[in-house]
This record gives sequence, structure tokens and C-alpha cells, in this order.
Amino acid sequence: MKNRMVLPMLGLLLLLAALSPSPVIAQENSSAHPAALNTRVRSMIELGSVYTNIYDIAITVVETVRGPAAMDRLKAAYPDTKTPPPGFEYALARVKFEFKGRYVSDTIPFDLGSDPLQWVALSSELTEYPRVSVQAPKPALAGRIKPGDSLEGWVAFAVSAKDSKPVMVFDPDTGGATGRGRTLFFKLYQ
Amino acid sequence: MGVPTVPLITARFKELVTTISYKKGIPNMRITYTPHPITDRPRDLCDKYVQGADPNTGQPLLEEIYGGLTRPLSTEDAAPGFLKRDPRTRLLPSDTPENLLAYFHQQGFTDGNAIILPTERKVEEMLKGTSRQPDEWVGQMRPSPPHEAWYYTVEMVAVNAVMVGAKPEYFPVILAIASKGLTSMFSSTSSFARMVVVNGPVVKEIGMNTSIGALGPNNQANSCIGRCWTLISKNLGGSGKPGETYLGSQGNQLNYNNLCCPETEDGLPAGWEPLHVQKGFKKTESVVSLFSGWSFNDIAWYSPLPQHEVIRGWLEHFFSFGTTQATLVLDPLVAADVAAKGYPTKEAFAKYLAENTGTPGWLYWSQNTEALKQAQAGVEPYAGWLKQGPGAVVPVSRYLRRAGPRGGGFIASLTGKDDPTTIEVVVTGGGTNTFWSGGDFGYAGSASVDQWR
Repeated sequence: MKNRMVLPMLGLLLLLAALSPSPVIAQENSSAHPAALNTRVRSMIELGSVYTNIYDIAITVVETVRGPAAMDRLKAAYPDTKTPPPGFEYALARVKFEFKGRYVSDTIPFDLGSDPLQWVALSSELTEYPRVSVQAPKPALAGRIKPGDSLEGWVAFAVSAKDSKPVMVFDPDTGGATGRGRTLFFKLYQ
Repeated sequence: MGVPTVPLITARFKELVTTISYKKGIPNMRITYTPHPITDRPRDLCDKYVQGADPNTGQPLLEEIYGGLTRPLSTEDAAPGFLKRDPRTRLLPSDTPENLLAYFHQQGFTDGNAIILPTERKVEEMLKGTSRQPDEWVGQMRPSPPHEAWYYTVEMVAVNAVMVGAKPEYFPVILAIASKGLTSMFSSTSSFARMVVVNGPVVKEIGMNTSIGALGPNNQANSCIGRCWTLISKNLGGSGKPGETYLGSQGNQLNYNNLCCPETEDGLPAGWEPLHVQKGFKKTESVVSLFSGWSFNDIAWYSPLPQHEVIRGWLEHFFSFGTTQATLVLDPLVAADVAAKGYPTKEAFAKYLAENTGTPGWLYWSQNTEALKQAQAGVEPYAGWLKQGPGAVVPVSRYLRRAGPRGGGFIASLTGKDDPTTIEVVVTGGGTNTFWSGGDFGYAGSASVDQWR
């Protein structure tokens, strides 16, 4: 009898709700929902050896350039820039990367641009585009940044000229991060 | 990068590598499995594994590898894919308390001990312990670095705090622990343990036991906070499912409470800084510090030797999985005795220990195969050390940090500053005896409690 009285009051929180994205976590970023231009995506990376500590990051694609405009920009920076493989064109993304430690003891730097798998272009079907050797315009998104710093710069890819909706991926298992956090997806188009 | 590759993995890690291959966008990666385990197993057994079949497919292992390396990629092989999780509802359907408790235990949401059911009302009460918003993002956690990370909010942490019987005033401490994203149930086959040490004003504010029995089951705050870390790890960090996300062969009883204790700051000898101050925080800040290791010894032994020499001797011969790091938990009486022998700071004592401990020969040679080769080739000083036999102590310390700020090895700890040793010293206890404790724990990081108030 007592239990029956209690019963209506027992609305229990489901613990494994952790599996569902919180409204403030990475803005529900996923391969099906890549972030649009100028959308600031918050996420986390883990730095350390075995005993990792969480560092907060925010990534915003602030500008994208494709095709002839991208080629012009590359040529202006590096006149020797080769034309992309047949059927491909260059796609540039200017990315703002914000990096923050949580506590005074979080002092490990993060390397941007040193790993070829850190920023990768995927087709609209999410197939990885072959990497091409092309130098991004200055300022490139490259360098070691300390907690509290941010860096804005260009990354460069070659994508199919027929693909109107390529996607850029940030792999958090790079740059010295030992943990494997959430892979983030960004639209490489307007 | 265009080079055909077939990873060879032991079968116990199938779930893990499947997750990783999805995360990398290549869910149909060709992987071959051997039976598990292979570490420290006889060579002839491992040879049989190689000559035998993949336990998952039943196909001959070598043929499977060969085929994986040479067969052209099919459309199915090359198909991309990413992990997708279906959203789950926030609330369970109403039921009787008995049924719900049974459900929580059946689902593995608990540590097997009794829990408080996390009703909305109780969770709301817990949330009053912080100014943070319920949907605010606290951290991410995973069973081990290669695993998928789970993300969690303030409210999700509050659910677990309710379950362990925490008071709302404990909640900022629990949030600070959760904010580090370090699981207490690490998915290694080696049965990791963790330790959490609380410093600063919050210790007295919430009535933690810094005195007699500080490490025992004697205080609600000490008990609940330590226990909560494990429930958070299980329920928010995807950890602790034996055979899947937890592979510790024997498990570790320290996982029940994670050695949660406050430091007895009032009992520190003059000149010995509290742990959180050592790690760069202000003395007036409240801080949790997390440690990772495997085993913990209570050294109950009277000796005519001074304490610092007893500790040095123990440290020299202490042997566990973690052989290159140690954390000492000294009773205030012991700390006072050590300080009186000429160690004005914890760091000075740690330096003495690191510089004056050698390594048992059998342990040194088993871990330094290059040195053993040189010793066998007659190269000094290795040859001389080897001649003394496996029971002799080799004059090489295990506790001097030899790498940069990220540490150099599997168990190198991080301090965030240039700490020359891998020895940590914590003081707690009630001064009823000159005993002390120690284990192979390394410092893993600290978090401000005040940021989560």
C-alpha cells in the first residue's frame, strides 16, 4: 500500500542519458550534422600520458573558399602551387581554434597542423579524399599553442569539383592529445 | 597511407577495436584476432595461436591475414561509417522502489551496494549544491584512451551523487572529480586503482575525516565522494562492464571508494606544503587531486631505524605493477619524525628517497633488457651488477623522472611542472600510531572545487 502511494512520485532520471548529446555539447555535431560556417563548436581534447586531463576547445570555420578563388589565393601565397589532380579543385577553410586548460595545473601545449590526419576532407558521402601536397595560405593553422591561446589560420584540401557539400573533420587524437575524443565535422561549403 | 594493413588483435579487445574502427570512419576494416591472452604466455602456446584459427571467424589466422593484405577492397570494405547513438529518455517509467532498485542493479548502474534511488526531487536537491546549470557540460570520460568518450552534464553527475547518498554540500567536490574525465575503472587487464585526495577549506566545511580512520569507512563525506567517482565512471564514463569495458582480471577492491581522503593540513610539519599548493593552487582554494596506481600497503611495523630509512627500504623493494612511481600516505606523527630528520619539505624527502633507492636485481634485469645484454657482454658497470646476483640491489633509482613534462613511459605521471621525482607525499591520519601507507600511485591531476560551487 505504501509503495503504491510512493509510485506516482517516482520519476527517475535515466542514468545512461549520457549517451545522448547534451544541448550544449558540441552543438550535436556529427557526420549527419556537420557544423555550418561561423558556428562555434565546443568540444574537449585530452592531453597527457595515460593520466590525461581534459582541455576545452572551440572550433569555428570562419571562411571557406573553393575552386578558382582558392587557386588564386594559393598562387598569390605560393606561385609554384600545382594545379589539383584532374577532377579536383582546392577547398580552403579559415579556422579559428581556441584552446583552454581547466585548472592552473593544466599546462600542456597542443600542436596544430603537424599531423596530416588532424584536418581531413571527406566527400558528401563521408569518404575520405586523398590528401594532396599543398601549402595552405598564410596564416596557416599551424603551430604549438598554450592553454588560453587561440589561433586562426587556413587549412587546404583538394575535393572533387562535382562535390558541392564536402565536409572537414577534426580528429582529436592528434597534436599531442592522447585521448580520443569526439571527431568533429564541419561544412566546407556555405 | 595506401599500404595494405591488417591489425592483429587479441580477441578480448574486439569490442574496443570495433569502436575505434567506427570512430575512424572505417567500420569494415580488416582485422584478425588471436585468442587472449598472449602476454606472458608460453611461446609454444602463442605459436599454436598463430598456426590456428581466428576465434571470431574460424578462418586460419595466417590465411586470413594474407587475404586481408592482398584481396582488393570491395565496395562494402570501403564503405564509411561513424558511431551513432540513439538519444535516450531522461526519465525511467515509474515503478515500485523495489523493482527500480532491482533494475538499477541488473543494469550495472551500481557498485553492488545499496543505493538511493535518484528521483527528480532528490536530484533537484543535489543541484542546489552548485551554481552551475543542470545542462552544463562537465566533462568526457572513457574506459581507456582508445575507447569512445561519453559526455556528461551537471545533472547527470547529480544523479550519481544522489545514488551514493551524498549531501548537496559534497556536490562541488564530486563535480570537480568528474571534470577531470578520468575513469576510476580503467579498462586494463591489470586492475587499476585510483585515489582522490581533498585539500583546502572544503574539507572542514563538509566535515571530512582528517583524523583517526581517515582512510576507513568512518565518514559520510569521505565515503560518498570516493564511491561516487566509481558510479560516475560506470554510468557516465562507459566503464566497469566486466568482459567488455572492464578487463581487470581480478579486479581491485580499492575501486569501491578510491582511497578517498582529505589531507590533514593541520598536521603538516612546518614547511611542508599541502598537496594542492605543491600542484600550483592557492592554499585558500579547495582542490581535489587524483592519483592512479594498482596497490596500496599499510606499513604496520615498528623499527629501531628512523622512519625515513624504513620508508626508503620499503620503497627500494616494493614491487607491484607500477614500478616507477609511488605515493606515500604518512600519519602526521610519521611526517613530523621525517621532517625532524632534516627534510624541510615534502619535495626534499621525495628527492632523498628517489636518489637513495636502488632496484632489486631481478626486477632491474627483467625490465632493462638492453642493460642485461651489455652486462652479459661484459660491459661495466652492468657486468659488475649482474655478478652480484638477482637478489642484490642495482644502484639505479626507479623514482627519478627521466623524461620531459609529458613523462616518458607508460606509467609516468604528470605534475604540470618540472618535478624531478615520481614520488608524492600526502599526510593524513589521527596520530594514534607511527604507521604509514604507500603504494604505486602516480599523480594524475588536480581540479579546483571552487569552480564548481
